[in-house]
Amino acid sequence: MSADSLKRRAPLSRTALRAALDGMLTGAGRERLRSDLAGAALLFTAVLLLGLLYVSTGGAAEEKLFTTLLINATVVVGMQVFIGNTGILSFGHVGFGAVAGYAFAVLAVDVEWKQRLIGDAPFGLADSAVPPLAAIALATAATLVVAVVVGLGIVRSGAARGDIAATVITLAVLFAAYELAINWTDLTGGNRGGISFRPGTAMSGRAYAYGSFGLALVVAYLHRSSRSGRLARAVREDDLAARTLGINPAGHQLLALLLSVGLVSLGACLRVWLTGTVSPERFFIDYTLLTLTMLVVGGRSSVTGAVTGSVIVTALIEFTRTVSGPDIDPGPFDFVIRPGLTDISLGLAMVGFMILRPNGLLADREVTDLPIVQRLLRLGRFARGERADPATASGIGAFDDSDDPQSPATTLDRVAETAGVAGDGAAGSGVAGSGDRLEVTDISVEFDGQEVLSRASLVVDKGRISGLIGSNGAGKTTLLNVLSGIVPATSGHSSLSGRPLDGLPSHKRARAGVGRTFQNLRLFGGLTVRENVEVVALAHGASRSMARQAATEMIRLNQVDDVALRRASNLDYGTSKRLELARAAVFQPLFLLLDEPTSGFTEPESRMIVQQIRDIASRIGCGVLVIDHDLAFVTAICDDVYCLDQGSVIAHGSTEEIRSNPLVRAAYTGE
Amino acid sequence: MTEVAQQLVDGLGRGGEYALIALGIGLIFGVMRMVNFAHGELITISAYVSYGLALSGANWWILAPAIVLTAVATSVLIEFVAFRWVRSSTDFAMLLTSFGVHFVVQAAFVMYISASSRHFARPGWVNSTVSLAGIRFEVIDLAIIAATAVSLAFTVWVLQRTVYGMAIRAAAEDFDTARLLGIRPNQVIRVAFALAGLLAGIAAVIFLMRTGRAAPSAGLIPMLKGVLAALIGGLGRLQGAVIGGLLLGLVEIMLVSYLPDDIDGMVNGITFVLVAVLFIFRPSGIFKVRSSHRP
Repeated sequence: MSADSLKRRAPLSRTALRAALDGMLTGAGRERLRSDLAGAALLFTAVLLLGLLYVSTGGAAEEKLFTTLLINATVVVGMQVFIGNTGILSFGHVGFGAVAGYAFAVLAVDVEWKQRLIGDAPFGLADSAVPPLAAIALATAATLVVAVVVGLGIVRSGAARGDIAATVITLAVLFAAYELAINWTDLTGGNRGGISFRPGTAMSGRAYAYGSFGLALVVAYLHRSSRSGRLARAVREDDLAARTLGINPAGHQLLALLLSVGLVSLGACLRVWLTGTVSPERFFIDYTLLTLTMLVVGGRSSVTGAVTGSVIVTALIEFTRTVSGPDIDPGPFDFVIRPGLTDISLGLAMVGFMILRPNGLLADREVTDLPIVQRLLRLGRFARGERADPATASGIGAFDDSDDPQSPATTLDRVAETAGVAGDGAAGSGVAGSGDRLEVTDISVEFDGQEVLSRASLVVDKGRISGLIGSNGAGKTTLLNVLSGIVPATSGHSSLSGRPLDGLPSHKRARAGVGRTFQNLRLFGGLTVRENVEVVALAHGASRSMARQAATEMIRLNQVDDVALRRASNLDYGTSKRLELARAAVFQPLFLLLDEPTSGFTEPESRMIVQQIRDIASRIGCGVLVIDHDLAFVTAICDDVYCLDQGSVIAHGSTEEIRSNPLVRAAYTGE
Repeated sequence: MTEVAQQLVDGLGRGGEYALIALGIGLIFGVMRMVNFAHGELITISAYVSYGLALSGANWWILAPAIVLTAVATSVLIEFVAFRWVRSSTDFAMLLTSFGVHFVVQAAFVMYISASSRHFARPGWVNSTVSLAGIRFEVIDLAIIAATAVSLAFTVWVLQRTVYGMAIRAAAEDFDTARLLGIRPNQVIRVAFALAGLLAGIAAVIFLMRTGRAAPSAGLIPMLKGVLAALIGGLGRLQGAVIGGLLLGLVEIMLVSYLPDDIDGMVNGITFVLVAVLFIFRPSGIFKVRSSHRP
């Protein structure tokens, strides 16, 4: 162990790959695939039936409206993949759509017609044309190149949920695409006509729209339940906690953006092909408003919500358009039934939903969550002769892997093994002697010229529980923040078993084996208790089934298993604290940093958490550094204690030594 | 030299306008943590009020105060009707609420007036110039710089010296604590919106004197520039909003002067991209953020 084990693997190393393959081929992977495809198929069928019913009532106009709905739904489902999973509001997706739409038109319009419209197009684009499907593929690829650049920028800015800087970057995409479309007249035909297809060569029939909508659903569902999708949602819930638990947001946000932009591009190309024309205004603010309203009305956090919103809003605008059209005499309703009604309805729908139901109609519920669908999926398993596992029967984890019945006790260790985090003392033997140590040497930190930590040094050995005490403002939390890479040290070093940690980002420190909790709770509020723990195991390379079992064991060990399916934001304080501990411990870090685990607890609760920390420490054999105010707690749990005062370590020793140290008494107890 | 001085005055004139809007956006962000995408509607609504008054023969001595009053009243009204209800909501919901309000106002003008723009007379002196030290300046630029300076001085005075201002600053620092200490949230927020409306009103007077035009989406671009300026300076930092505004104005004037003619129409897009690049590297603006919060 030690130095060797510190060559931590990136999440896609061979072991992880094998684990992932493992997950695909075992029951868990198949079950997941079935559930995803079932979701996509159900939504597709529902929209199809609704649409066909509607088309059968009319003629060409109804037909066209249904096709438009399918295309808009493709775009909105595409937007959901990014906005829903990352929580970052994007105004730029329609801008990406503009890029794709123009690229498609420039490539697909036939040469003779193109010569008339944009004969001076650069790169000889006016002299050749490709078939529509190839044009869609090329246009999507070109847009993805733009998306990579923008995505790297968004990721570089450290975007988190609701981050306005990231939103403005997406807004820049929208405006840049719009003004480019207006001004690059040689290529785009400028503001007046844009680019049109020769009459009669626009898309006819619904086949492509069906295809794109179906593809969007499958991609969105597969991504949603994929490792990357789940980690993206953990980051969405709390990016700082996610980083300190080993999740690197960048890759997951970028993947979500690329899939998202790919689907939006596809929809945009079809939109251009169907209407036979592209112009700057068609992919600007109005379309942004329309698609965003569709997304938030149904619920941005679910694919079902995106589709539901698309259907409802399409019906709404069709209604307003019909009543405010020239054929209908508004009579006494003249004051509302007039041009502009559509836009005001969309605006009011958006404001209304944000005020009354900010998570949309469905919030994060999916069609596959419906009890009847669950029952059907389970029936399917029986029919195939697969055995239902007890967890399923009790309603916990319908898609649990039952083909892999191993004792939970070994699962945790397998997670750690995959993650490369486990030490010698794993497998429950615990305690001391492995030689791993977390070392802080002469760390100083300054905020605005004020020294918060000055040359603080300490050592935590594996298998030991060390305490860190000190009055408020002594720099305890700052020291933990330095160790987990949230706050940069002004000077000094920190290392894990001799390997320097300095300059490593938070997620790499976690992967090196440093886990932590926070003083003021940073759970993934929108995820369930079990998911909170599970995503962290996933982040460390565990296969789906391993992650699930490790989470099951961890939440049992921490006595939060009775609320496994409850949303973390709905937990009481004590349970939240226990869950945070379970989450930090599930990847078997070599060292656990606990920031005031007993704050806000009563005496009996504190005693309980002492036992919990001991259990975890011996179970995973880690070293623990625990900050606390409560001397009784520290005495009860720690092997040795450091005392911090005004940024400096003023004492170190056994609990008895610390209690009787005059410096500590002066600084800490005020005696 | 002459050219540079002229551009500087031009840039400060334009930037002053942005600064006034950005300051309002910053004030509202301070008390609500909301980036107000509907702040431009104060300009739009004021524009239609001016148009209406101008139709009935009012001159700019009446228009100017009317514009400012309209902006203040509208600002407080929008807060009361829409923003009050999302006060404790997520960033996401607040952002989209203000975005939605923008569209509702815009669509209302399309419905009840017209989608096309309406024009009214600009003051006669708008295009006149004066020569100072051999350099010709547009009078309106000088007027704007003066008006901006006075408004900023007034804002600083309100924030530093009055009870309401101190309450706003306290709330901007830490709203929950301020509330616990007895500062009434409704009142503080209303005053902040009124003050933001006042600043936007002054910006609107300047903007409308230049353009003499009322259109449903008139406020969109000024609002976006205000948001950019506020972000450049660092949201919630009121000095930052002013500096961000001036900087943005100067950069734009430089772009207008030095960009080749055939991409002149892309000034907004290029500005946006430049700001986006800035955010990639400094997501919280050009100034260093105070890192006092505990994770």
